[in-house]
Amino acid sequence: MAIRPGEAIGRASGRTALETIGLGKRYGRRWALRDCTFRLPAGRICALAGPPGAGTSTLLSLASGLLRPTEGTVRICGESGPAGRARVAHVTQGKPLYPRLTVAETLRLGRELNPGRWNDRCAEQIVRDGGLPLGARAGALPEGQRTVLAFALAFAREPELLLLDDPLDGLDPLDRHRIAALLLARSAERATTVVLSSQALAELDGICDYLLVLGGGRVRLAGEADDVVGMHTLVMGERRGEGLPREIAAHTVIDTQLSGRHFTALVRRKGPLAPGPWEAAEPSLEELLLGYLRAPGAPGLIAPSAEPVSSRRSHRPGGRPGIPGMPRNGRPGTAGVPGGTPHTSYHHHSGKGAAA
Amino acid sequence: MTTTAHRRASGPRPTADGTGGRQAAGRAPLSGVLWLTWRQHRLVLGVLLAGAAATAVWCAVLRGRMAGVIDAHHLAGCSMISLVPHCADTQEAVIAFRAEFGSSLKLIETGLFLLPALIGLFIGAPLVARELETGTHQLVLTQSVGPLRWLTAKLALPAAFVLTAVSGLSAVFAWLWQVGGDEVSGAYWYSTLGFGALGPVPVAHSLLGLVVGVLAGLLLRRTVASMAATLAAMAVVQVAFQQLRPALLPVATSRFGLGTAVQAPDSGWVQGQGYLTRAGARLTGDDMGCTPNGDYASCLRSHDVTGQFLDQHPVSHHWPLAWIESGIVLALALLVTVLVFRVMRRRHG
Repeated sequence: MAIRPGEAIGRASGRTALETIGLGKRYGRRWALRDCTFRLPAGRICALAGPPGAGTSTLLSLASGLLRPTEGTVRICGESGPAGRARVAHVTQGKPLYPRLTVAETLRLGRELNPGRWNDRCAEQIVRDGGLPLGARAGALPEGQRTVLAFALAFAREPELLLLDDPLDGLDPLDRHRIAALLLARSAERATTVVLSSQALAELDGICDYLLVLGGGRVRLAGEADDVVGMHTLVMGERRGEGLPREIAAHTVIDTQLSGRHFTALVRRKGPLAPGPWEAAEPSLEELLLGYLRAPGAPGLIAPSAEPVSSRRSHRPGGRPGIPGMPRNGRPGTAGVPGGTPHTSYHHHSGKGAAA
Repeated sequence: MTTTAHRRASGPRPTADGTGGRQAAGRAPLSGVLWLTWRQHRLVLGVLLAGAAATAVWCAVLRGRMAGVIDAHHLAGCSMISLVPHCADTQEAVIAFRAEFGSSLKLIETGLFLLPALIGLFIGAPLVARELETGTHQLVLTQSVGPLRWLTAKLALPAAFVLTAVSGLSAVFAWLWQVGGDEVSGAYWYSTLGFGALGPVPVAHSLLGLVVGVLAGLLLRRTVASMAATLAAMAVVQVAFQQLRPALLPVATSRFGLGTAVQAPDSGWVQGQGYLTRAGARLTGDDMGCTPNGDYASCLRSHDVTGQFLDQHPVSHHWPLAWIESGIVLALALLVTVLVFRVMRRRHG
């Protein structure tokens, strides 16, 4: 994503792939998702995580139009309704396929049901590269090949936004690796924005450059993966007395694990971490996500790039044209602006703990 | 192309192709959602058409054989005990006729009578329920076709097959009935089986069964549960119409003198009979408490009885009754269809 001079620099510029405002879905008396407001910039591969029942599947289904929202709105690339729906491909949980249809017939299904937006060559190539026999019934395929077929259906629609609901579930490590490679290669080809939900948090590292964490039906964490990870520190040390050392507790403590005489804490820094008899390290993506999933009460964090354009206007009447000097406004390596530091000003969801 | 390639050539298929294959004809292959619907349900729809075609052929053969027997023994319009002059001495021939053809006729009648419930059970109920049960509806609804277009195709294709198969079979059966029904076979038009098997009635009930099955599947999301619900609903509809049917049209009333024998033609559907007073009130024997072993005539006189009446639906009421019932059933089917679409729209937009 090239930034021309004169164009607003930073996250406020750039296209939006997915935007939800006040989105909610109620089943009977239970809200599966509520007050979900965020923005996903185009071109990212976004990890969507949440404990079971957090509403990740519901969010994806609302985004693809599979479900009707009880309240709120969804926009795909600025469009709502059928026009937006046409730009999305959604591989739902369990990757449902008609078991009696052969691979060739399943591809025909895609062609028949997507008139005018079906890339036959793309579908056939993915199926051929995956080594799928065209005459085999979809129900007889092993899980890895089923996933390849589901991906072929999704990518052949040439979507601008691809929603994948736990696609790596039930795959062996070799297949996971293959599918991840397929996903990265194909989404890079047309700069497809991807939202990938997964229970396997470790798999998301190295695939995703954007984060969205739900908890209790609300957004807990949203922003660039590297920035969000960089704002946090994993502190490990020896326990002295009850609780954490004062210097560490002064920061926003997300999650503390105590084991024997040691503690491990995930903190969101409010400034430089004071040196002491402890070790500090940058958490891995998995450690970060795990920390947030374990601590549903921790204050949330919504990066400015993840705030909807329309709602931000009311949020910050000053209308700052983005934040200068932001790193990575595009794919990693393509548009990295040097000089980005982890000490970036973020608007905090909870309203406290803002970095200096 | 593919649609015909997948059809296995078997006995009655050519007939099926000729009657119901307009949508599935090789030269104009189905496209879009219709293709998918055909591909998913071709087995059961093919069985329906083949079964209807085979039964229609059997009906035609049976009609030929019946006509032969009837012509040979001059049985037209004769029942077992008949007052019609030309039917004298035909009793044994009628008994032989009934012994030969009675069970076949009953079998076809029963089949046509049960067809609506079977269609609801095995075509309607699994149509959507199986998709919801296995989650495959998500596969379709995440493609570019909207939920309402998908539902339209899902309903229209089976409805076209049901309409073709059942109306074809019903027409052939009515043609058979002209020769072998009513007096000579003792299977009258007003019997539960006969009425349900003739003319537009099985067609209307079949379409209702289809949409009731789809609605049940949409609401219950389980194939077996929606099959059970469909069966129950179709049984209720059938029982309700058995109660309602005589009231769909005003009965024809005949009056007789006190001394004459009250006699209705065998083909008349008797709804009631009794006595008329001078004031025009209707009394039945039970109302007056007259007993045959007492002085019956003076008992009647004491109630001021002047004549007798007989309420019946003559055979001429058959088709009006059938069309009225079919109209009501089709209106019900339309109502259920609207409900189906509303449920779908509320759920998936």
